Amino acid sequence: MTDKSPPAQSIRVCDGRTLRQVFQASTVWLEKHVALVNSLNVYPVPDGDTGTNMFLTAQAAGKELNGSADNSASGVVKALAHGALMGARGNSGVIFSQILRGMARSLDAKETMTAADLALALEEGAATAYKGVIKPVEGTILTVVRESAAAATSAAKEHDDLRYVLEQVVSAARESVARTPTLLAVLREAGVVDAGGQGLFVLFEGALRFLHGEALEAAPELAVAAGIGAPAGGYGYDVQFVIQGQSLNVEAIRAQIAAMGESTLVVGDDTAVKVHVHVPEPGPVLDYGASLGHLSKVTVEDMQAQYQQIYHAAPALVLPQPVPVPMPTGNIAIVAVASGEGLSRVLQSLGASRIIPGGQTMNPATEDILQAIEDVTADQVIVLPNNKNIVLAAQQTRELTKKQVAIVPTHTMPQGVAALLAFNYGASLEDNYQAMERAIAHVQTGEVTTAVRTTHVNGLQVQAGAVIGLLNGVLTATGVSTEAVVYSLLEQMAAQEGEIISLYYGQSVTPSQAEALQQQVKQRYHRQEVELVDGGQPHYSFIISVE
Amino acid sequence: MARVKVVTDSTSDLPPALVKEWDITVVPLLIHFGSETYVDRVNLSEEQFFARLTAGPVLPTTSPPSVKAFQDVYARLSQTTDAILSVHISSKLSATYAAAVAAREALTNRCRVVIVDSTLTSMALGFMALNAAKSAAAGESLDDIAEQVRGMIPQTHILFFVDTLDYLQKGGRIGKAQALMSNMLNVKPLLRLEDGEIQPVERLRTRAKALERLYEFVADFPKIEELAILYSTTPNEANTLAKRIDPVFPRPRIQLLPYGPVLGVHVGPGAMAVVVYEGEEL
Repeated sequence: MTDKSPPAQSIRVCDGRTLRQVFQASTVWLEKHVALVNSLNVYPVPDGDTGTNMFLTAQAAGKELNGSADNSASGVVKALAHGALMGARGNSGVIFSQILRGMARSLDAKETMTAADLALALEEGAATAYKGVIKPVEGTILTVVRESAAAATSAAKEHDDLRYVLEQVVSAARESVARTPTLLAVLREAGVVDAGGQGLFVLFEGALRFLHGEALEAAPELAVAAGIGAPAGGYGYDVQFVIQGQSLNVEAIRAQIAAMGESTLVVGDDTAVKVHVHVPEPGPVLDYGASLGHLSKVTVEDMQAQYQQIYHAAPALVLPQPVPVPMPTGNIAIVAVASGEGLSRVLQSLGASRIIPGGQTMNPATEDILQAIEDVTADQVIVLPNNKNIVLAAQQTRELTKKQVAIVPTHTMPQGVAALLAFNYGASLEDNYQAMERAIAHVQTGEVTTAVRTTHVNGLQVQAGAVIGLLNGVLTATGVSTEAVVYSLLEQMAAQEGEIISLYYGQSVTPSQAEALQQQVKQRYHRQEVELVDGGQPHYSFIISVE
Repeated sequence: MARVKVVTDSTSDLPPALVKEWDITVVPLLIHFGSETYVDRVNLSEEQFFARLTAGPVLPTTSPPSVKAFQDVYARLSQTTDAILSVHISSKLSATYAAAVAAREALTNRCRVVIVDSTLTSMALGFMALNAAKSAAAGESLDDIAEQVRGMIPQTHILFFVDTLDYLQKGGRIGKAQALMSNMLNVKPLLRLEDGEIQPVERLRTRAKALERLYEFVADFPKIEELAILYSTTPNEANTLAKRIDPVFPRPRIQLLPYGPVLGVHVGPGAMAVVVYEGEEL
């Protein structure tokens, strides 16, 4: 179908060195398309960040390569898979990391990669991605990777040229993306293609462009805002290194490192252990590491300087002051994702021991969630993602830690609140998980924001700039004023039958505006208690729950 | 041998008719609004108290009966009996038990006083005093009655919710229920008395759910000997709950009572409780 490359130029094998370049090219190409992919959100909400999430995941994967000297095809893809796993953000990022993981498994022990190897690897990548999702949905990145892999398989049977196979993959991916609206009604109605699928297509296309010899220059790194925090115990040094050795005891190393510093993250196996710790002085912890084996990837950073730099660069990011909460010292801790100082405080006041910043502005990476899990002293941890797009990344942590972790799939902040309220520190992890799942099943969440583009969705004509309301994640209201949308949502939520209406106001709303709305809601719903909470969340002027 | 006399305190929430019918002596606790002192249910009724609690800026406090008050009661009763059973509010919640014990030391005649720490309060304590008084009327011995009353402790349960934990916190009785506090959101904490202390059970967001929990708690018992529902400012809710419980435990036998001012100081208005006595252990 495409013009066949002359035999002299065909690429029969690809070594690890080339794979590194290919992946870098893909990442750069995706970076150029981040805004485009972000714009493909089904709802015109201002936090559509599929492109950002996939790019940051790819970037994390690429960074892992910098520290690996292995130039076999197998070694490179393994490093990529591990980096992507730790750096996965958002559902699309997680699925992308699973594709890489499947590919790494398929390419195991291969020094180089042939066209047939690539086809098998993509098939394995697609299969792994499907398995990683509890209810696979067609018309998403899953469909795109499956159809791309099928195209690779049939192309590899015709030809042993990697470039030819990749051309077929790119063209299959393009068509598959174009078909996603026919498979998924929400895409059809919103008039968009699937964002994750588009992101994957861009990655394939970037790879192909590299093989065609088109130069791509790297752009500066996108700043990652999530996960930046001043350490609780003041400043010191942020020390990271990898210990390579034999019969390393991860448990023992973790215990020792934890005793030496704060915010400890120790992961790995008996041959390589990654250490990340905040310590007052870098010397002792490095000496300890060196006593166990060979140290590599050593970085030492002065956190005071780092924190001030970041803090001054991004003044909007003010971290919540920890609220002293008299939680009983049970052996179950709760970590929760929240964006907004007020929402963080609410969750802490209800017993969350760690807040992972993020949510609607920036989805935290799997590594950020893992860090919070490792940071708490309890051996059993409940994670509340509080956002639909963080649930998968949170689930990835379960296989990265020795702790017993339960992910309660909370999609909204009111669901997170309901889950925390249901927590019983006298009960087991399993019983708490079930009680929390039951508790979130009945929660109705309303969210009010501003449309970032004009669209037609759920039978509603939405103008860019209009106020829109989402009920349990589905766009169901639009209007010219915040009040009108709040009333519409309250009506849909059958607020007149509830007892408590909670209004969490965001950072764009002043306390007096919020109080005025509270008064108006009170007049309409005089039999209900109307509770007003300073949530401080970005993008969403109001988050509403009715109980 | 003279009949055993039964003494309890005003936190038992026993209705006056039963107190009179079964010849129970109730020693009142004290309530203070600033410098004004009232005697629980003697010169301050529930109605007066809650009206003042919800209206006024002054947060009341409580104090146990004086040792002297117990001495007077024991001395008076010992003129007609040589055996007194005195059962009181949990010693972890009030110094009433300690005052009773101190008063007994000062008793000079040959009257025996057995003082029991109920580890409970309200009608849970009320049911113990009532059963003791019935056994006393039947002519049972002090030792037998004391054994019966102590045997009731593990068979008697209080589950309650408060409208806000503020009162328990300000009154210093919050104990482990501190864990249920939320200073950001309005929650209805469900609590129970266990080992003499207030223990957290669950945080609920609405009264409807809290009432549902009270019902479920009652409905789960295979056998109920006595049942009370305690309320303050919400008699309609108490009535509805009683109707709901009727198929489980006949409504005419339910003690539907307002809780008194002393408990009111500590749980605030709008709280509700169910008290279940399962009956003797099988």
